[in-house]
Amino acid sequence: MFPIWTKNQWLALWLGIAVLVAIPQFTDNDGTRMWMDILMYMILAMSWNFIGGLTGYPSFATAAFFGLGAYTTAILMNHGAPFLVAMPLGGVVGATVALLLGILILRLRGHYFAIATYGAAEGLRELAENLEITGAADGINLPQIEGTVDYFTQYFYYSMLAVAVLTVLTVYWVTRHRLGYGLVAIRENEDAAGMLGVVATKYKIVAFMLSAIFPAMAGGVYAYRAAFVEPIDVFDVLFSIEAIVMALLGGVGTIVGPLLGAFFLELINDFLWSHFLEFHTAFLGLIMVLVVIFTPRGVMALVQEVRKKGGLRALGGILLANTQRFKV
Amino acid sequence: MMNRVARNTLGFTLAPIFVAAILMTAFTVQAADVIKFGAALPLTGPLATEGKKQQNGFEIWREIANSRGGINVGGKKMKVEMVYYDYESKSPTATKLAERLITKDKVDILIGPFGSGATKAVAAIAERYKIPMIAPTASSEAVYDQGYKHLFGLLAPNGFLPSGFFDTVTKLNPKPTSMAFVTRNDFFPKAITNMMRKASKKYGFTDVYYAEFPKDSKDMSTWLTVVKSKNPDILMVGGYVGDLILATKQAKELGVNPKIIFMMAGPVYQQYADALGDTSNNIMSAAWWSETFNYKGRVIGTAANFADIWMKKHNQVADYVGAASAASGVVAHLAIEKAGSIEASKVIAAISSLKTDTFFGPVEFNKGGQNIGSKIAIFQIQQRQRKTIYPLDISDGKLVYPRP
Repeated sequence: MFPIWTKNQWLALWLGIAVLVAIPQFTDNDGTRMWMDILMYMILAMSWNFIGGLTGYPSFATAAFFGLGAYTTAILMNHGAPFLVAMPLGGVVGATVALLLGILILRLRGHYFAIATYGAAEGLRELAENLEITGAADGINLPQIEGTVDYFTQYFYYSMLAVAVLTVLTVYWVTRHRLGYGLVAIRENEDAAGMLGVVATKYKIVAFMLSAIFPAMAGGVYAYRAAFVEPIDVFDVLFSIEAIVMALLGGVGTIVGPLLGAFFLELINDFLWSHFLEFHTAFLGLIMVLVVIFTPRGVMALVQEVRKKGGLRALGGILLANTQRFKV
Repeated sequence: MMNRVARNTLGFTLAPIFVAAILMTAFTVQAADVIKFGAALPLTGPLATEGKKQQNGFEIWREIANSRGGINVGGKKMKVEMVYYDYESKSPTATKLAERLITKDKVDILIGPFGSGATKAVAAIAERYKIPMIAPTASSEAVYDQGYKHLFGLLAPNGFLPSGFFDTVTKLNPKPTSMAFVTRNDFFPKAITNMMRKASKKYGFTDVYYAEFPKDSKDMSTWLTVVKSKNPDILMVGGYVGDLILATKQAKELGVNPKIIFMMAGPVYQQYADALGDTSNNIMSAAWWSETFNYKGRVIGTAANFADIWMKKHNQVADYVGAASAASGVVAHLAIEKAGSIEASKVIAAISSLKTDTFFGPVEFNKGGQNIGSKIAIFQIQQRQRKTIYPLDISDGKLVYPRP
């Protein structure tokens, strides 16, 4: 299922991290900002992969956890907590809510589960819009970070990078561990997995918590950087949808897929923004349609197929064959 | 490239990283003798109409300024350049693009997004980067309560509204005594409705009903039915133009008929009267600006002048959104000339101490950065036209009361 990584692959991982650590030295602050967004979406997509990809439960709760983390960080920092305490606590709050929510809704499967998770995110947004402690619909300000532009840009970037590295290492650990195999077993056939001794409920709840903790921490970084959060902004269902689209684009259930998906989609998004003032959303839609038609199982699946069929020359044929799926 | 990918999947991540990193650093071109203004606007999404009006407003000012050779900066004429981005009516995107305008496009001055919520979000970014920011369309006091030094807003504070409204209605005969309040659960509508509600108690009104409806409600009949049973003299509804068109239409259908219906802030748009026809008659509202106001100042001239240019270019009636946007440019223009520099700290000092007349009305900023020189006018729609009732020195109509 998940082949042991070769020495080269480990090398690539550490090299990748080294490059990411070095990025602020090689680009300007706007470049660093863009990389921070890419890292944020990588975190969201990789985290969704725990529950949506490995376990096969289509969760729309990413936005719920992101918002929880953002608000926890905001509230704690307004009560004097330093960022490096508030942000991880946001992760803890996210995971705790996932635990409680998971007990309630992980009995549901398929569409029902998807709707319940979507409802949870909307419910939390409504709560944030009406509670006093969250500043209701007015939103909530956070303390401003002090220092030079270089300093705070890098501060936010490295905070996001730390969460991203933590996420990657957790993904690696889970796929090496009994947990990962259990989750895949649940995805393939939950009843059969149960027969084999996989305690499905427990496994699913752990997967759901893992899909919550890192987005919540990313939400915390986001909030400190934005210095102002509103319910509609951080509980935006688009965070959930983009995480899913990115994971699909890269390849569901793979380790590298969500990373690639987040990378390409953010890069494309950024390019379209700055070059097409009025039509960027249309272009983005077009790209997504093309991706769905030509690589319905994601970039990683395409890469594997190309490798199997003997290199780049087979690419055209594979893309064409993919479109045939739509013939009834 | 694909062959290498085939050999090593993780290596695939690295190639684009390097390429992008190189690309990022490559593009930084800075033109001299130009003052750069940046605006992230909601050019798509639910606020697209407003965003377009903002852009049109900025462009009218830019064209006028540049047709005269630009802005006079300490004896040297500098042309105005605008950089626009679309934030898709989503404030997180607005903050992201504001950062891009500052760090990548290196704009000298930011001109705010649409509405109070997004302005508050972007203001936090402008403050951190120490870039002057002028907000055309944020009037809620809560936007200006963070002690930010770089934020200035063109619209008179919401707090100016209650005195104008209640001074007008308490002089009426028979005197109205009860009020009902309903608002969209959103930053601006809620702020202004609650402010009016608080003030109504001071003016001796009984508060018979208060309710909030969710953003983007498709049905207003639930609360309208309650309002009908409570039978208030005055009904105030806070919301945006779509909400208010729906509420007005359904109020008529359900026979909800208070003596005064006061709505913020939809009726100010021509779209409201166009959509409702005669049903829009006798609805009261308030506006920060109208082409009928007797305002005049440097750069653009009179309010009527601006409205003429707008009508010729866009074949529609100008409203406060476009006017406030053009006025943001005018304020920056006058402040830069006064400072004789485009250095942020000097521009900030110049805007803070600015006291001038413009086509948008008098401009003078308080400590929080809100324009306290300007006013909010009360108007009523009569025969599908907006007639100004208050303040009296710029009024051109008499209130129809009670509504027939």
